[in-house]
This record gives sequence, structure tokens and C-alpha cells, in this order.
Amino acid sequence: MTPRLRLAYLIVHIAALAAGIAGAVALVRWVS
Amino acid sequence: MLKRAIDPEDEAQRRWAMRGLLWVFLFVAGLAACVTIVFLTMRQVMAIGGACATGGAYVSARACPQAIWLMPIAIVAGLACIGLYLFRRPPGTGNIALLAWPALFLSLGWNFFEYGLWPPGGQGLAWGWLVCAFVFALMGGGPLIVAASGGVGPFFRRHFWDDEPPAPPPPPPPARAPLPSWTKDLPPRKTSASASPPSAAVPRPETPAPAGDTAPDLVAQLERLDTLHRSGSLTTAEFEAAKQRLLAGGRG
Repeated sequence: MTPRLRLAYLIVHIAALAAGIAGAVALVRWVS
Repeated sequence: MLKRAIDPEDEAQRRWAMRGLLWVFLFVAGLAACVTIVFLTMRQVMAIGGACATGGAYVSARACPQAIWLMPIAIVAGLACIGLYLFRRPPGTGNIALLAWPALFLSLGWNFFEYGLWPPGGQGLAWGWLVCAFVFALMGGGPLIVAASGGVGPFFRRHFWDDEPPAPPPPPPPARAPLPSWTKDLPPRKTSASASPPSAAVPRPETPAPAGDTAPDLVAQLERLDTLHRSGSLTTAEFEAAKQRLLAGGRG
């Protein structure tokens, strides 16, 4: 596991968290 | 034009790690979405009094919010996302599943806390919800505090950057005490060096002993002499003569 790949995984984790939260908020608002 | 040689095994590992990026994104986003859905739908239920009912043969006093059907799906899907994430996550890339428990219970505990302080359509405090808030805060925050008790920085490095903590330095080798003087009368020890072929028992260049450290050096020289004798490099007469010289020099 190279440092560059680990950094990529860290960025993907943060991006996934943001995307998941934003998507869930949009979904709940849309369904409501 | 130069072409760089690519090891097929390295290339396969690189592709596996690159595909892992996509899976990690999907599972982490799914987990975050599920926790958020549970948090938001719980708020919707608490905003109408904390209880609701939909369907069945009876007329319910409070119908559930429209998005409530997302909650059971989010609970099951969130558990599935954690399992798949742990299964597919390459080691050394951080482990965010450890935060799922505190995130779930602290967010739900916040709902209890907020609506316990300001209950919907009521005056005063909703003590039942405040007790729930306290319990949820303990369940979610307790493990987090214990895990981060050694410092937030080491906690994050250990769980989100390195899977394995750095190995402690090896202990220093025990110092060999000089042998007492009576040991020179004992028969020589059988060491592993004596069982090795003669070519392995080549004596190293002699180094002058530091002043005041003659006893351990004398023992080492006697042992080396014995090794040479056993390997056949020295005859018995040569061995005895050299030993006498050493002992005479050691006493002097």
C-alpha cells in the first residue's frame, strides 16, 4: 500500500461520507 | 521509446486496490446515508410526539410520516454496508466502521436530548427522553472516549491510517557478566561453533582488549582457543601451550 494510494483511500472515505449524508438528506426530503 | 517493465503481480494488486476505491466509496456512502436516514426519520417521528401508526384495521391517532418506511430499510442496509465494507476494505486504508456505532448512538441521542428539552407541543421537560439521551450518549460516547484516551492524534493514526501500531523497539541484549575465576578449571563447554565444520571456525583478527576488561576477554580467548582445538586447527600440544600463555598473561 503506497502512501499515494492510502491518501486516495482517505479522500474517498471523506468524499463518500459527504456524498452519503447529502444523498440521504435529499432522499428523505424528496420522499416527504 | 523506453517501456517500463511491469510485474504482473504488482499490476494485479494495483488494479485490486483501485477497484477497492470504488467499493469503499459505495459502502461508506451507503453507511453514511443509512445513519442519516435513521437520524432524520427518527426526528420526524419525535416531532409528532414520538409515536405513530400506519395501516392495520384501526384508525390511528397519529399517522406516520411518509418517509418512515425508509427507516427499517436503512437499518438493514447499514448493517450490510458495514459488513461489505470490512470485507472489501484493503488493510492499511483506514477503518471507518469503528465510527458507525458512536455516530449512530450519538446522533440518535441528540434527537432525544433536543426533543427532551423542547418536547413537541408541550411545556417543561420530557424526562423520559432525557434519560434516553443520557443512555445513548454513554453508549455512543463512552467507547469513543476510551478509544481516544491515549490522544486523538494516535487514535486517528492507529485506526484511520495505520492498521498496526508501530512495533516497540527490541529490548537490549542482556549484559554478560564475567565468569568467576573457578570456571577455568571446568571442562570446556560444547558450543554450536564446535559442531560446525572447520572452515567456519576461522579466528577473527585479534583486537586489543581495553584496559580493566581483561577477565571477559581472557574467557573469550580461551573459548576461541578451545574451538580451534576441537576443529583440528590446533594440535593438543599447540593448544596447551597457547592456553598456558594466555593464562600466564591473564594473571600478569
